[in-house]
Amino acid sequence: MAYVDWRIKGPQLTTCNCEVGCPCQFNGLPTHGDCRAAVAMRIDQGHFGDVPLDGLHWVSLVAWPGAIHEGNGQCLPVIDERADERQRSALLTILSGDETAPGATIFNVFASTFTTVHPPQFRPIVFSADIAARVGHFAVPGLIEASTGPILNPITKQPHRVRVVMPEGFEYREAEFAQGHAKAGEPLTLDWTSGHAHLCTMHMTPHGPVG
Amino acid sequence: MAYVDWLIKGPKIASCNCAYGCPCEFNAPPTHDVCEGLEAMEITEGWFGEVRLDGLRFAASYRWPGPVHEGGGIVQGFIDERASEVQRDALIKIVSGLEQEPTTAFNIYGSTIEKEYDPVFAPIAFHCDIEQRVGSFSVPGHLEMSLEPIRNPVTGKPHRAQIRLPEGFEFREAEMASGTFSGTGEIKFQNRNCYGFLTFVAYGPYGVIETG
Repeated sequence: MAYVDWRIKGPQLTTCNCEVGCPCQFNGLPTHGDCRAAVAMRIDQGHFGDVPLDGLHWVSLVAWPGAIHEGNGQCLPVIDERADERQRSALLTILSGDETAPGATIFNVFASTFTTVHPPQFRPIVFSADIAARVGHFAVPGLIEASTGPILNPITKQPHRVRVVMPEGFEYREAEFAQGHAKAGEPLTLDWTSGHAHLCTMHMTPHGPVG
Repeated sequence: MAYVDWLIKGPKIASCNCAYGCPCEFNAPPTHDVCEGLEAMEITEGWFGEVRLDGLRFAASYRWPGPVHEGGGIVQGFIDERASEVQRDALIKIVSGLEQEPTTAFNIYGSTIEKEYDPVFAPIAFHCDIEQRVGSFSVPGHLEMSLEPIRNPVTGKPHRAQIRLPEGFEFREAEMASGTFSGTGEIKFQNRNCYGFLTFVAYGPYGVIETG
């Protein structure tokens, strides 16, 4: 099947309520039973067909009552308010997992696990990321605030550097693992102070990550 | 300080009772509080001073009541029965943390051990295919372990993931796997489908040696 030609590339931050190292990355079960997460990205280079997406941000808040693959999840997409009508539509199509080979992208895999998708919000998004330093921050003022930082060795208190590589992954090929915090209010509440986080360069196409 | 010149290089396989990916690799607490498991290494190339160690195997089983760094651990070592007297002495020195910096894996783990059972000299069967994430070892009457790929819970396909620790003291890169193991000797345990890894490592007096 032919898909619209699209590509988004740029820094991506994720934090979830699991312990650092998130067992789900390895097909383990979530640390606390349920899974709640916030994801944000700045698209440095991107397009959807002939619609340019450079410089735009998106945020996605997600939650499941158990492991992700068991379903019953909910999602709240937030699109950069600077996006015009066509860009908003393009980004929502990408995030919804449409125009994707089945199972090839995180958007498509997650979409099959959602029973509730909240109406998208179009808001200002603040975003910064230093992947090598494992330091990042994003916020949608009035909705969510999240940040990441290095894991610290419990004895020496030195930063603990650890990367996870997934040669066939549907989200990333290589990510720096970190710790993160998130706080979000209704309609999709998030609240943790030292959960899992990872930072990577997302480079996604209809056929999955390419780097 | 000058140490005896030594090196051991080869495949190493391990498994513990934590969830896949083992939180401890990220400095999180163990999945089930207690940490218990086992490991084995086959030395494809090795020496300790003038003593060659090529082809020899060694293994260990262990348990800690909580996170490793909180201490209180117990351990038992297993040395290939094919090792001669001088090779046994050399291997025991290495795994005991002698002739090396305090920051090596043997010494970091060693510093958390409260009780060490006498080492066992026994045959050790060992098999490892890192690329396929398949491996096993056994010390008959004491330890059995097998590794297979983690499976995607929905598609059933193998899930490939590697952990890379650029400054790691145990490994720099390891393939994640699913481990099933039992211990029937001094340290008894039985666990299914839990954390396992396969790696190719080299250790010397100053710790991990990059093998590229």
